[in-house]
Amino acid sequence: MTDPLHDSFDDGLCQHLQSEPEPDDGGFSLRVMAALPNRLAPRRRRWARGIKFAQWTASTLAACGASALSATGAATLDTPHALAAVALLGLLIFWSVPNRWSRG
Amino acid sequence: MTPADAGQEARLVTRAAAGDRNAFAALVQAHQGYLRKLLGRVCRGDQARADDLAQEAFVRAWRAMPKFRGEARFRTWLTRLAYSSLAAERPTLPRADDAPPELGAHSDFAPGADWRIDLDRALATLSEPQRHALLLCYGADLSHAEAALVLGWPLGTVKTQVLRAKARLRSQLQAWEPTP
Repeated sequence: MTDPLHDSFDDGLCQHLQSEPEPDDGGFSLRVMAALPNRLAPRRRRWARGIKFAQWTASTLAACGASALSATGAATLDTPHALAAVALLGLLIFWSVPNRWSRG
Repeated sequence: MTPADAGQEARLVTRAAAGDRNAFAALVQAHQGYLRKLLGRVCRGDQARADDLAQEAFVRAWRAMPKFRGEARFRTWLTRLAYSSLAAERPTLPRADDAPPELGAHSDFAPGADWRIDLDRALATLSEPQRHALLLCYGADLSHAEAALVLGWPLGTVKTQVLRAKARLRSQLQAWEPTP
């Protein structure tokens, strides 16, 4: 405190207001820790954002690829094209499934 | 707080800001007593409510840790969070009042148990702004500038409220002032 008028009254006041003992923890800290929400560290948050962006990009490319392969104009798809389209669709579904890295 | 303690706390704050729960637990253990005691006084002895406010302040601190730049002491920042929870709960408090200051005479006296009882009674008669300013500057041992930060008031207002509070207490406790 930087009070130029600090005197014995102030001392008495300080003493009175600060003399009371601090309450015991009594499990308070544990309750606080249990109530804390999950928070990702800034580095992990950046990482998760990057992963999410990569996931969206890959999903978009897979969707475009699958559409291009399906739209060949021929009445029937040949086996390699069909396999490629199915693989891309599989990847599209796989990347769309939320995983622990995409929780930001 | 010694420089060594301050350094230790700064390390804990850095680790907690990076998401280290153990470091934050150490901070909670170090400051819970101070905060709960202060809020107990602010809530006029309602310790259950004080504990709720303290818990909310710690949870808010955990969320906001990455934004804490260390410009103020961790304790001051924590107290500010607790006071903003209090203000959100009771939007009219704390606010500054405009009562004229009553300045009393300074004197020496030895406070005893009876004086403390009378002081408690006198404290109960203070206006909310006066009580908040006094509790922070004398009960929590914050500087006037830190109390201003906690309350969101200008520094001059805090000083004025402290002066008014002391003047009022002095007038209430006039019987204890030794006669010349």
